Amino acid sequence: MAVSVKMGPSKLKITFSNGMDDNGNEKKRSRTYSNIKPTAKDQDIYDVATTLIGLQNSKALEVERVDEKEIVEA
Amino acid sequence: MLTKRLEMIFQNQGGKTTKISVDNAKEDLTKEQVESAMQVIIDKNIFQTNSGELTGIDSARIVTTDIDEII
Repeated sequence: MAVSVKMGPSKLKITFSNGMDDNGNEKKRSRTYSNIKPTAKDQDIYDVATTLIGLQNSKALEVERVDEKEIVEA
Repeated sequence: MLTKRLEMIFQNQGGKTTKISVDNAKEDLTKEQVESAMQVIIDKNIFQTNSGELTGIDSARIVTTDIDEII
C-alpha cells in the first residue's frame, strides 16, 4: 500500500545541566518547546535556542530538533 | 529556594497572545536584553501556533517561586 508523509509540528528540546548528584554524575533537565514549524531552518532553530539559553543561568548541554512525520495512505 | 521563570508574551497573527518561558532565568536581566531576545524570536519566525505566527512583543515578566522542601 502506497503511503505519503505529512510533516507534523517539530519541537525544540534543550537539555541543561542541573548540577551534580551525590555520586558526581551530572544531573540533567530538559525543556521542550512545541509548535516549531516543520519548515523552519536548522540554523534559525539553533539561533533561537542560543537566545533562550542566553537568558538563563543553567549550562546548556544539548540542543535537539525533534521532527515528527505522520504516515498516511496515499 | 527561590526559582525565577521568565515569561515572554508575544502577540500573534490571530490577535491573541503566545507565552514562551525559560526556567532558571538570570538574576540581572534588563529590559533591553529581554526585548532583544524577543525580537530575535520574532525575526527567526520558527514558531507556528494555532493562532498563527508571532508578530510582536506584548509583555514580559519574571515569576519568582519560593520552594521549601519539607521531606
